[in-house]
Amino acid sequence: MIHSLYILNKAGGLVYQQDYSSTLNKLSINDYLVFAGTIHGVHAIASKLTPTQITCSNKNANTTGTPLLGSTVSTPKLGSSGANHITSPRMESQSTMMRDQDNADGLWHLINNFTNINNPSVNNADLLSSSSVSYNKLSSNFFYMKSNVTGLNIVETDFFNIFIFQTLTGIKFILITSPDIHKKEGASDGNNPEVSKQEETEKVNLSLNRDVNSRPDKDLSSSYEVAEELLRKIYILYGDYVMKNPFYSMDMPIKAELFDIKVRALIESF
Amino acid sequence: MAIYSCWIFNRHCNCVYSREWEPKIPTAGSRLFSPFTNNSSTSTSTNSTTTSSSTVNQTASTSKNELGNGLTNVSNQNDKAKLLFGAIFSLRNIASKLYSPKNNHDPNDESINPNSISNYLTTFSTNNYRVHYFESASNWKIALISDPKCQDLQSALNFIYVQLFNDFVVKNALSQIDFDEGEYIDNPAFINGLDNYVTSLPAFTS
Repeated sequence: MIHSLYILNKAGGLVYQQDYSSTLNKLSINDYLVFAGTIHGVHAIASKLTPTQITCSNKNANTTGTPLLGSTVSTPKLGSSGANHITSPRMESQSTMMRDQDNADGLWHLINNFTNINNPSVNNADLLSSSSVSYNKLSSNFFYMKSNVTGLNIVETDFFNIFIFQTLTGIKFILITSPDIHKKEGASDGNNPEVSKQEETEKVNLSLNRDVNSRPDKDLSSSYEVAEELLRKIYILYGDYVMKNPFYSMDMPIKAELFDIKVRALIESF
Repeated sequence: MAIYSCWIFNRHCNCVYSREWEPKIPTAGSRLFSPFTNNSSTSTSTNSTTTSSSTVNQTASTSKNELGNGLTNVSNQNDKAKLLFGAIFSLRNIASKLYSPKNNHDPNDESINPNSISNYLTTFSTNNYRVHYFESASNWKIALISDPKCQDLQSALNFIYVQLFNDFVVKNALSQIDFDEGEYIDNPAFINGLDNYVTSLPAFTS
């Protein structure tokens, strides 16, 4: 289940914060701002921590590998923020290389869609859902990889996970979920109190023993994909209801009722 | 998959132990990297990443291999250790601040002491690596940096703390109790034990 959503502007300022469950502590506004700044900072620091072993082996791989399609799909580095500047051009080009083949198809499809549909009333959501196949293919390889190449992605704690999605323009969408993203609150609270109590105790025992052998680890990558998908949808809503709002000024806190409603509906339908 | 490095911090935020293992470079013979093979004369020299891919050093120094390949306690004072500690420290504060389990479970349940539990950071990851984190009750912090696809290493961290750190450092009468800045764990039993354990993990070679 989803605990809360944060949106950070490219300078690391908190522009949107919304809780969707009562699980997490309520903090003061100041603490939320500190949280946003901390995540922003750690996101940038995390890319500096990349083990030297990786950079070494990348260099080796790069010198032996031929530059296949490295420059055919020149990826526009739209005002990418902090962390991306740190990325060494080598790694950048290598990851481009590896994914170019896949991207080229999807990218063309998307470009065609954008150029063919000249109807201004069509919003991003419609457009992307009409080409959902190519969009999914594209987004998983292209948008996402290029926008958060070396920065912090996932933070796991005993009781919640944090997923960070960074757009090409440097805006960060941060989702805090329960360790099992699919578990609904209602399922554990209302329907079967016995089970929920047992689960809760188990969880607490888990944290007490710090013996985490049984952690459902393979769920992580799948819940990561789920979270990423959700964040991408929220990004589309952001495009439609925040960026297209004429009264919104860039990098300022988001006060758009329609955006609130749409995001809440999306998260509740999830 | 691979495990890249191991870091231990004390409660004064000093890095008391750092260990960076050499990368597994696919050599001509595609031998698996294993620093503790007895036949050190045939092991590929992976001491230097620039030469290892092409040359097989017949005179691979046995003294190097005693402590394994890579760096031990070299990076304790450098920026990398400090940045890692900073990242861990920030994230663990977030973890404990955003969630306090004592507010979230049944207060009538007496099987647990609500004051003794809090939310712990376990891992954080980027596309390039994953940090597995363990903190003991006495604030020793152990971090293992691995490949992002690596499975959860909490049990390994637990083993390192309970079996290795406790036995060779805490129970060691000759070892410092509290490490000051610049001091680090240099006892070979611990270093070798950790090396042996980590290199034997399936995550290290697989």
